[in-house]
Amino acid sequence: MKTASELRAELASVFAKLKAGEIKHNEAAELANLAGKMIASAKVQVEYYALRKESPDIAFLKDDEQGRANTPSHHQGHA
Amino acid sequence: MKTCRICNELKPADAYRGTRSACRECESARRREWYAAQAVKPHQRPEMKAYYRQWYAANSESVKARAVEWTKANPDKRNAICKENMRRQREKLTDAYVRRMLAQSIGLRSAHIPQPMVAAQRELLKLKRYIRENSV
Repeated sequence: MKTASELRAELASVFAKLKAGEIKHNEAAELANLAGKMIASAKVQVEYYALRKESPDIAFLKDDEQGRANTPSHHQGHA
Repeated sequence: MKTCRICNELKPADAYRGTRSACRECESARRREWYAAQAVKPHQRPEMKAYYRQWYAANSESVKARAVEWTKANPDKRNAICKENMRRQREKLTDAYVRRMLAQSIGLRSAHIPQPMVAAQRELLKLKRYIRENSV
């Protein structure tokens, strides 16, 4: 799991398994906790680039075409 | 036998609805086109969107002033609308809500949050909610 899209897909699969009763609640909670840590670390990177007023160049967030289209190319404007 | 006025083909009488001059096939095709055209509402057409954008650019100040005036005159209504919007966004986990949530936690603007991060966070929130609501 190297990208945010893969993380999303993994979380969706965990959600489906949890609903189907294939995994336990505490197991799903642990996975959710881990996913939270991954997102938090990506957030720190985003913050770093924003503070430097640079366009974010983060491999973890770069796999999605739509995401790239929606990501602002610079930090000057606010949509 | 009769000639269809649209496709100009000679067809038997049962290919027509009553005494219509266009055959059933042509009428159906025309109706399909008409319905497809109706799917895009007049206000959604590109030329109308351009017109609205131009109009707003010319009148934005008065629109904003009116909105501020209304907000001052109706604070309760305004609060109720905001609360309802927030409730709906929270419930649906809209892009705007998740983006704002992520942005506020690090003191950035919503526009700074990349879309893949929003999608991952939404999935995480869904999972956490489910766990919270269904754990014993």
